[in-house]
Amino acid sequence: MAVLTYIEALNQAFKEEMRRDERVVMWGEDLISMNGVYGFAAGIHEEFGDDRIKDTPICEQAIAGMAIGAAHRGLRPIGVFMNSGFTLAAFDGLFLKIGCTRPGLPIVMQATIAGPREDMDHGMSPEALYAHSPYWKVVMPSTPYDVKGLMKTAIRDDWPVFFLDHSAAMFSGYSDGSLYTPYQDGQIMFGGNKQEVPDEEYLIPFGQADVKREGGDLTLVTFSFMVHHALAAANTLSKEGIHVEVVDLRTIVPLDVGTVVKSAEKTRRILIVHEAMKRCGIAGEIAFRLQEEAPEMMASLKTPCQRLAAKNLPLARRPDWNLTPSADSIVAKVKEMVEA
Amino acid sequence: MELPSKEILLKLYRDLITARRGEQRMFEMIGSKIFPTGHRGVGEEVVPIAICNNLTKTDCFHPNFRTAFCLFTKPGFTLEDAIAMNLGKIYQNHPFFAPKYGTIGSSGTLGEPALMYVGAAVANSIQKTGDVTVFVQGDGASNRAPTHEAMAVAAAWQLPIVFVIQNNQYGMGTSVSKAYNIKDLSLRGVGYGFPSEQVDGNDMIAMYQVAKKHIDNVRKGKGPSLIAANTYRLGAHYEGDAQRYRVKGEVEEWKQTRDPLPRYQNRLMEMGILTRADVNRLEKEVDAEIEAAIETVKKVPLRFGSEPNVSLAIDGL
Repeated sequence: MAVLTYIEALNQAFKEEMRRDERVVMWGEDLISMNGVYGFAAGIHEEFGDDRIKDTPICEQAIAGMAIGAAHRGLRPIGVFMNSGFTLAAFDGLFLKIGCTRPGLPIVMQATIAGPREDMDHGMSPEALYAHSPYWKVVMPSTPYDVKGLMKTAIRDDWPVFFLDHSAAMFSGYSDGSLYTPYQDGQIMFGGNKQEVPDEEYLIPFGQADVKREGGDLTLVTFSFMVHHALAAANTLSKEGIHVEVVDLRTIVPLDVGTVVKSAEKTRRILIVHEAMKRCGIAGEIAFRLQEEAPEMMASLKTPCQRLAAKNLPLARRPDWNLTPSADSIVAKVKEMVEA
Repeated sequence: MELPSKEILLKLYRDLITARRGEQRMFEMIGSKIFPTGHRGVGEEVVPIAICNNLTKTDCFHPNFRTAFCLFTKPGFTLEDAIAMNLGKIYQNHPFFAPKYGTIGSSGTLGEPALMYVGAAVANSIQKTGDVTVFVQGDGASNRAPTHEAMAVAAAWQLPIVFVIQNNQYGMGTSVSKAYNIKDLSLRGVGYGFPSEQVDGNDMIAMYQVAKKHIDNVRKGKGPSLIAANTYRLGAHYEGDAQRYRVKGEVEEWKQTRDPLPRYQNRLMEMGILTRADVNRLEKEVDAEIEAAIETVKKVPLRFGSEPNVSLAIDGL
């Protein structure tokens, strides 16, 4: 098995699917000229040429809207938004047009969440916005193995898929902040978040959460880069005898309620963690899905299901303000729940 | 420019009276209850008819919503399809969802479809189908951001698409003179490097010739272009609109001097290829055709859905 970085794994997923199906095309800003800025489009233009990968002008609305016409006329387009907040410039196309009127279209929209070290435009976590529409599937991987298998599934899916990567997951397996250095001497660093990835082909179905760490005291439900904060917190807590089970949802829509329920029936405690703002964040939806689908489990919890999310404030490029959850704040919250 | 053949000229005339009389008949049947008849296209029919008569079955075409009835002139569609749409048997906001015949739906936020149709042009270009896309929208929608992004990408990628601004002088109640600082809207194409020109969109022969030239050039791979077709909205924005924004006498003046139907009819008579007797006969024929189509629509299932099946759900929710 090869050890791949997150970016290399994502890059392999694109290339393998473009080799497999010539209807798969990619467009976005600086895909060719800067390898997609984060580096995951490296080598695609060299291998597939001008028809299969295109640099758009700085036109986010076009990245989204064009996918509809192209898909109706026989292509399987992948639109790449450099950063997550930029998708809001195309919200009509993404939400009202694709999300509300175009089921059954093979469209993938990829955007990278730059995270709390950036402003809202680059760093916001928009999953709740897109999950609110009827037709988007929403995917948020955390590891090289997952991103490759999930992106391949996304490209083969006949429905619109919103694929949200996190730049910290790309560049640092676990980040306390100091590791977040994607650029060095003007070059993108392919460091961090390395993992063994099988040489043979594999796909990861949507709607299957992955238990990233087993434990009997509390079920920590999370996704995207927060998985790494959660794993770090679980590591710290285990030294104090508290064993946290980390469930990585991997896809927000469809949501794997079953895996969470199974875990919580064992631990009898649930904490949902995400990087987006708390109010109307997806944790509220997850908790209510659990309430609707597993009322008995929810009634049997030792302490009420809780959530840990960003403060209801915009990102401010001020990590020292601790606006978003961190390993430390997760540790504190878990202790509070276990000791309650 | 070369004059179209007599056969084409008469076909265009027949299409024009079918559109005018058909839309009127729809309005009598359903009034303003249903879109798009509630937004009538009377007076603007020449623009889509002249374009559609230069297209093939597989070419892509987006009509201005106001003249969506004229889609029956796009190869691939029939009068029954247009009537079915107007009688509300097809979800009206996305007229004629039939991607293989080049219509991929529309949008309540006008302007957004410009991007969808640029996407269709991307697919046609990558797959080398030879199909042309003609995207028509009004002067109002042409100020919207998606229109500009659509043109920017079409220019950068040299896509096979013709943009048409169907300038009927009003975006709802706001006149072009208040919404633009230019009189010739084809200047909007110049900044994108498109071959661009304005044309009298109430002159059937001129409109046909200009549409043909642009569509032929795009089909030859000469890249995107733009036509500003100047016409006039003889009706209200929607039925019941008090039209307080109109300049006094303006509508009457356009009706009397520039209504494209009597204008084209007189032109053909002057050319000696149409007589009063022909007009009477054709009007009767067309009326019978419309009535027969209405009866068919009442009886037979629809050929096209309105849009993809939107009753699907993910995740059991």
